Amino acid sequence: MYWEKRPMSSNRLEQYLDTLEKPLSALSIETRREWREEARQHVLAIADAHEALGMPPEQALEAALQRFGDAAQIGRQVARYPVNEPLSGRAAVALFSIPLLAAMGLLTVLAYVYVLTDSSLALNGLQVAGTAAYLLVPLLGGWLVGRRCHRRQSVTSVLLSLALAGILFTPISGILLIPAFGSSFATAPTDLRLGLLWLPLTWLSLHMTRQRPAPAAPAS
Amino acid sequence: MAKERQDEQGELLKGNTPTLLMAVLQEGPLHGYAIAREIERRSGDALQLGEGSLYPALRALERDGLVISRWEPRPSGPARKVYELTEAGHRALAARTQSWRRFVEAVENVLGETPHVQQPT
Repeated sequence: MYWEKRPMSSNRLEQYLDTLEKPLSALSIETRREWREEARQHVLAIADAHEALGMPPEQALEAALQRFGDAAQIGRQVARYPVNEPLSGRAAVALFSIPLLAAMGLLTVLAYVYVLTDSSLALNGLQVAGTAAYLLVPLLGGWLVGRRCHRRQSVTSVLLSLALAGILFTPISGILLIPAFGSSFATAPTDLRLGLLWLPLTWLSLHMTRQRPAPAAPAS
Repeated sequence: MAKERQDEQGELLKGNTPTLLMAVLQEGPLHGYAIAREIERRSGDALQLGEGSLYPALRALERDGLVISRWEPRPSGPARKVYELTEAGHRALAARTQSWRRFVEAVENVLGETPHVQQPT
């Protein structure tokens, strides 16, 4: 290997790669490692080509680094597109909260209308909306999370984060069960049995949407 | 003079780098170094990109689902990351190629009617 044969070049190259990697500090270790390896291989391939044309090794590496470009600038630009970045548990919970909070807002408005009018129509509307919200929240939440999920990422850790957050937010999410299933206010927030349905629904939605586009078939 | 021409070329290339990348990936998966060489080869060395600048463009294409990447093992040496055009990428390339050709034709038409342009000898 180039850097094993030339320790001086190795130092210069590692410094360059450090600069290249620095702007990606907020991304995962795996992403940073992959980027570093990819850039290293590219720079060394240019250096090898220069050497093959008769350039001395140190000079070939310098020329390769120059050709690759300004490390800090390239690193910053690459950091703008964090593709294949595993989704953190915190981000998954934040994404899942969007449909949950939207449903809560909608049901609050409907419940307020029912309290003001006391009409059976408003009560029916509240029950239908509650049931729809109850079923749609895990599907929409799973869809939002799945779209951001790296195709090679295991969904187990994401689901675990969502389940933990779900336990913490049971008192809030349980309110959705009240109009949907006619549970009493006293028991609904602690009724975890119906809440368990969210896990397979979320998993299903997440699994369906995290698939990335397949490569095109090779030209015949 | 050469520096000026390079800067000018850089400006022109900036917005079209993704299209060039997709065009060379149309034939099959390639790694970053091979992509740079292929662009040079096809352009007769006229287009020389700052090679590191390929990667932000490749990542933007990947984010948009036009390209996917994977690490490909090699019989000798470390695995190499290769990029491949997706179905959506093929469709986007066809659309971009068409709009680029229309643009070039329009510019050609305008330049063709410019009386003071001297052709280099």
